[in-house]
Amino acid sequence: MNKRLKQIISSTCMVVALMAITSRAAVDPADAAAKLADLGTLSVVAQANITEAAAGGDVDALAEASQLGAAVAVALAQSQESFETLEQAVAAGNDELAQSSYDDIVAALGLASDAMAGLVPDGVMGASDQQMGPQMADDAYDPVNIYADPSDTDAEQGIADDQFINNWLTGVVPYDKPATDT
Amino acid sequence: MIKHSMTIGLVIVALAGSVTNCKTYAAQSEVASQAKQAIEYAEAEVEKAREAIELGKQLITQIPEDHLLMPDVAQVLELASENWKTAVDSLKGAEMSASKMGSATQDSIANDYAMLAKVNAGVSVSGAKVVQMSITYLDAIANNKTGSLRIIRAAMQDALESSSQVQLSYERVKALISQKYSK
Repeated sequence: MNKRLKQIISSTCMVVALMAITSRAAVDPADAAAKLADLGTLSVVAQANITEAAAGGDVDALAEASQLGAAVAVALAQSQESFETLEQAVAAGNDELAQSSYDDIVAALGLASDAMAGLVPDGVMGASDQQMGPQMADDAYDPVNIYADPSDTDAEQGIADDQFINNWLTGVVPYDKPATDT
Repeated sequence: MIKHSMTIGLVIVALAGSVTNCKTYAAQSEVASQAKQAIEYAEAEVEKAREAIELGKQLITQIPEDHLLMPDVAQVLELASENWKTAVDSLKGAEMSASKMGSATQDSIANDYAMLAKVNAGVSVSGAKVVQMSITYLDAIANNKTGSLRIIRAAMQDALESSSQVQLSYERVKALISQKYSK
């Protein structure tokens, strides 16, 4: 009886192992791109949170919001790199690297959505219940120094203004202003 | 004896397989549920943006025409207008994709529609947030909160970059899904 049981167990294990090896779905780059989009959205929400804190004038809230915004920005930047690696790995047929890059993106989204809990409704950008990868290193946090003057020189301020204005130049005529005003 | 063991083993695996299938359906249903939640969130943020625009109309009347930052005001309005259009159009796109989820003939197709709906909702949220930030900037100008202007500017700059990333990712998702079905 014991022998038979052993045979059943070993047969089951062998089949399960074979299934596990063959059934692991290939990484879907579209799914990875969707997760990257989620991270981008979280980053926009984090920046909007900074804006609200700045307008509210609460220094502590602003410092916290800035730290959160910086952390999400880091997660987004790392995931952009992971996505590029994933695309190259898929093109090269390197499933292992593709899977590990995908796991990195999932982990970054999980950490970012956990950090943004309360700012975004639960489950919307959710990856909190998904498998987590390596935790984001503490030194990955590079909080914005909100006390530093971002433009020490007129030239730097000019460049910053130009960049800001360049982002505004395209677009449609505002709904509430005549075209001549823009 | 060995044959029997193999048969029993296969039965166990078949049972395990049906559990795996259940998990797959659950995962697909989770994606659909996330898409619906994402659309609800986008609707709420678009509504907030709409309210912000109404506030913006009042704020503009408070800013003197010869104000030093009037060129900024015009540009912010342009930015808000552009992003408002993005928010509204993307929300419609998300709702359209979501409506196709139910009528899809295969689970994988329904899953892809859900993915498109969710990402489109994200584009909508990003646009709506930029509108809200633009009006916060106008509020700071109208109410002389000059201390916060630089921080808001920097945050808007970062938000615009992230928002571009969201739109780029949406285009990628759309293209990658199209590729799947063009093979």
